[in-house]
Amino acid sequence: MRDETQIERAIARAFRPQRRLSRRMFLRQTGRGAVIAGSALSLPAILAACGIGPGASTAPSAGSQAALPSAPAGTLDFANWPAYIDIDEETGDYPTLAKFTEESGIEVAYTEAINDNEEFFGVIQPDLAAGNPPQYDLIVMTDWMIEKMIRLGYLSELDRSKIPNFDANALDLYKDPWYDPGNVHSMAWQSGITGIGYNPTLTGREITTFDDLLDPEFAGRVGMFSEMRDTMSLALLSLGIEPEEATVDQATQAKDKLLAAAQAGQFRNFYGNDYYDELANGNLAVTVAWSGDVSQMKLYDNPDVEFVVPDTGGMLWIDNMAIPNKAAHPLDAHMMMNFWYDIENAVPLTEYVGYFSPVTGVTERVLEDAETAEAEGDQEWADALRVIAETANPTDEVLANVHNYRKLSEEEEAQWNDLFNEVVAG
Amino acid sequence: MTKRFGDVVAVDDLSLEVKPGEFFALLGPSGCGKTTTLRMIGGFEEVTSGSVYLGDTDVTDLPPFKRATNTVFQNYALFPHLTVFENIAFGLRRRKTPTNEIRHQVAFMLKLVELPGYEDRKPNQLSGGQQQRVALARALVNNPRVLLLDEPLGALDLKLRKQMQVELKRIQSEIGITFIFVTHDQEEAMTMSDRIAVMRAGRIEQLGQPEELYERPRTDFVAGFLGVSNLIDADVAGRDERFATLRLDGGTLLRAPAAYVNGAPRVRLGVRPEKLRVIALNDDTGDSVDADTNALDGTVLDASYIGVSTQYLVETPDGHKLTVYAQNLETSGAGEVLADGQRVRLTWKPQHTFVIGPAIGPMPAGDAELEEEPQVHA
Amino acid sequence: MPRHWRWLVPYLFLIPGGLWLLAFFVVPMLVMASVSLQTGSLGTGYALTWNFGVYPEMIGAWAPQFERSLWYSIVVTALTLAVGYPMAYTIAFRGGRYKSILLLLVILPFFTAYIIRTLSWKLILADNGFVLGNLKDIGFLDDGFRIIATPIAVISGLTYNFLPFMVLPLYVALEKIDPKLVEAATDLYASRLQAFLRVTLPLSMPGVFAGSLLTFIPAVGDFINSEILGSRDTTMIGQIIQRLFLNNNAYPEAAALGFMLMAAVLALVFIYARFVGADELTR
Ligand SMILES: Nc1ncnc2c1ncn2[C@@H]1O[C@H](COP(=O)(O)OP(=O)(O)OP(=O)(O)O)[C@@H](O)[C@H]1O
Ligand SMILES: [Mg+2]
Repeated sequence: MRDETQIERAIARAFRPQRRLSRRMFLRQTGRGAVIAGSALSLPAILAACGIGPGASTAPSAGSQAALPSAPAGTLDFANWPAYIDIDEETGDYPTLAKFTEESGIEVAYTEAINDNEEFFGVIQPDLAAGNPPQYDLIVMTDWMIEKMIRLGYLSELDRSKIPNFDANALDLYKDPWYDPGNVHSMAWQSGITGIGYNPTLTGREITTFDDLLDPEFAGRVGMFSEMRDTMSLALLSLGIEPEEATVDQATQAKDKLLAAAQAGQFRNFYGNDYYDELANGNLAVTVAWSGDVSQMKLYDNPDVEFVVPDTGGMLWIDNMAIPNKAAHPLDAHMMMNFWYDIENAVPLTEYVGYFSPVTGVTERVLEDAETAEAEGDQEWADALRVIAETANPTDEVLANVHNYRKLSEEEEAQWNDLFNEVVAG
Repeated sequence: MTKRFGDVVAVDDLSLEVKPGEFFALLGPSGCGKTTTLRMIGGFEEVTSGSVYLGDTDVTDLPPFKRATNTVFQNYALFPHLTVFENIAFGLRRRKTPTNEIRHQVAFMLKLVELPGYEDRKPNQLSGGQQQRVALARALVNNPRVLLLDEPLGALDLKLRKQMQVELKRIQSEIGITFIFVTHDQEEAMTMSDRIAVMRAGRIEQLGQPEELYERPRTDFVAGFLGVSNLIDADVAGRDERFATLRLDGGTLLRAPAAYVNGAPRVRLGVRPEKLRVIALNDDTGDSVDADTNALDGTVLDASYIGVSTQYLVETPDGHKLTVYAQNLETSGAGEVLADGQRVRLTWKPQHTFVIGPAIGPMPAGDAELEEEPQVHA
Repeated sequence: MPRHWRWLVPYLFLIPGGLWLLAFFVVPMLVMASVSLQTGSLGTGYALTWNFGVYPEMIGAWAPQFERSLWYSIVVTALTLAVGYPMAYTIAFRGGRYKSILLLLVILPFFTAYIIRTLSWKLILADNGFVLGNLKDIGFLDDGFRIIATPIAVISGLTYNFLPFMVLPLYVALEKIDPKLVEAATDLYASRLQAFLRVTLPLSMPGVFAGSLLTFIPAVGDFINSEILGSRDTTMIGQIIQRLFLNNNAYPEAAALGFMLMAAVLALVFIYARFVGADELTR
């Protein structure tokens, strides 16, 4: 490790011919910082807090399906996570989005406004609670947040007749999910798995289970997530408890287990996106990790790293497109959702972002593209595409061992947060 | 000693001796090196070459706090955060003087500078003159062997300045400490000092007692810097025991003390305006001039009545313009002033003539002999 | 303006600043105070219930992080002072014609974003980065040695980031001191050290005071350095507030903590002013 330091690698990366993935890589590396800066300074977040007065009590109890206009408005406000769509490295444009505009005539105001589910929720919540038209027509949120927003009645029902591609092309895994039975309010964007990433040259052995993260042999070289649901769920699984059904008492047991290890100095830190660097540069020997990241890292930053779903179980997360209540351009948003369930558009998206695609047949198409690239002599790109193809869909074996998040009531969520805060703050 | 700042030679091979108890002035125009000279004596400026002695001790390499000199700075440099009392006590405290003693001495000093009762004020609550006196007390309380003062009265208005000149002189004679005093005000230097060194461009132009510098300046510069002089070029025409005879270019013969003239065939003679007498020439006035008197005829160009005196500008036939201060001894008003165009004769005593020339002998009453060892020697 | 209204003029000049403070300080403060006393949830809405209990509850829960933040900030202030004073002194008295260049160098880091600067330290001091990695290779350091994720890294990061806030006011205070005063002190039998202690230092106290406040106050509330350079055991109160506010949407709790932080800082500044002497500031 030491012979190839991170800075040398950064330099090497800088001199490598620009690849489609590099912008995403860059954002990953500085992403956590961006999250902090963005959140600390975001006025909307502060204003949001100011707006938590009694007005919120007027929240509707259930989402409603507003009648869709007969024609699209021609504009769409779309909020997404950073580097979560295909981007042209040279121009910074979004090629597939441009294609959508060309085909439909709808101009898309695309913003990378989402750094964190809760933070973004804090930004849009006051309008939704007060029944005002929201700033965005289409948002991408993680499954448990979708579940919470549906419960609060913040999402409008979808008109399935306007999204025929979903029924035609969506994989079964993404139909009728636990957080939104019948896909009444949401459709998957991309998904992934939370498991363990490790560097065998540093651990000296194969890692198979969550308890390996607590092995004193690795004290101070273990990474945890500062994300409450991922970390608590993995810990619950290691106790043999299904997170979907966990009670507050069981969550307390998970907390005790994590806290004991934290107090013993087992964890180097609790990370957001920045765990990526720490694992890549060898500061961490083993860490909680996202599946897509580790395959990228293997390809571009550290050939030694491995990803494993702990044998006690990993967590499957699904990010979803949804339309907030009273969105100004709902028909345009429906058309956009339908657009992404066309395989022609799903393939470039996956080839760029590298997570699981909810669309049937993407793996095969990515492999075809790899062969084309190879035939054209672009071996590096062909290799990258093969890695992506491998991870474009989870295997049945993996799926057999992953779990979903628990549906937490507001009260439970506050209790779990309190428990977890004890763990992350020493 | 010499001081160079890069290419600038601020003080150029200057040599100087000051006697104990003397009030010595460094006089010269702005930028001539007075402050630099003083700072080298005080130890604030390293000497580029040469050395500084205090009595018999070579102090050239000693820092200021190891020299028995104290300084009153150009703008006083009082410590703004300390009271008057603490300002004055500063030097005593550094030398671990017992508290009682300090109280006693500061009180004495405040009395000396006539500021008792001001102990607890801060410097910014004092007038300019009061600050000046505190600065003096702060330096004097340490009983230095030499007190260095850099234009201490420069920031004061004229009236206060006059008053402080008297004060300073009184204090100096009361305590008998050697003062080296920098000023660019010739009148100040003249009234206060025992001896004056006139400086120009880093060198001493002339050094002597005030009246000696005034009556017998040895260079154009000194003649012009101290008061007003009338200067005329002349050839040496002969000399006897007492007087040399000088011939002006127009042919007029004048006399000057023979001792001033030393071999050079051509010299410049001078006479102070107040030494000249003006006589109106009428047609019946003869040419006869007293043998003991120098005389020069001319025409009044301009006359101004100033009260104490009347100032005339007189032009000689060969084009020299002379200034005359005529005491209004017998006149009783502006009406009696000589009119422009009036022909006049200027007369003065030969011994009032001074000579500046390329070759100048020793001044007859030159530097006062140093009866004592010099105290400061640079 | 009629003569008898003249006395109003100085107060008129206060109006723009006063309004600004009212809009951007007082109003948010009142809103935060109100938020801290509300109870409820996103689903049911929040209502002002004058729940003062949240204050003791938050103190009880986060006392260690509170203490740590204050402690770190005191150390950081002392360190920036120790490092910054000689810097400011040298620039002010020995800078000569390089003064402005040296000052520019001091504020140069400000031209990069705070986050990026801090992240770069994470890179530079990485366990196997070129500094530590090389020292480990030559056997100078133990293999397990690290700086990142320790209190040293957090304190160093804070010190580095806030150094200019200390140096600039110190420089301004020192620059104002007439060098003649130091000469006067040495003329009055003070050694160089004594002249510094008796004259330069006291006269620079307004700079020390201002620099300390400009360093201490933002350092207490800082959450970037500990987040990036620290670990669980360096958690500062700013991180807690951020987490409660942004991740847990626990607005009343976050507001209450923010308020207490402000009160603690005010109290400490007040005590400090009594010791260092606000007298020094107003002279
Ligand atoms: N620190 C310095 N660096 C460079 N040149 C200097 C310095 N100090 C003085 N000089 C130069 O040396 C010369 C003498 O300066 P000095 O201050 O001794 O003059 P001064 O006779 O005291 O004048 P003033 O009456 O205006 O106070 C001047 O030409 C000045 O510009
Ligand atoms: Mg001077």
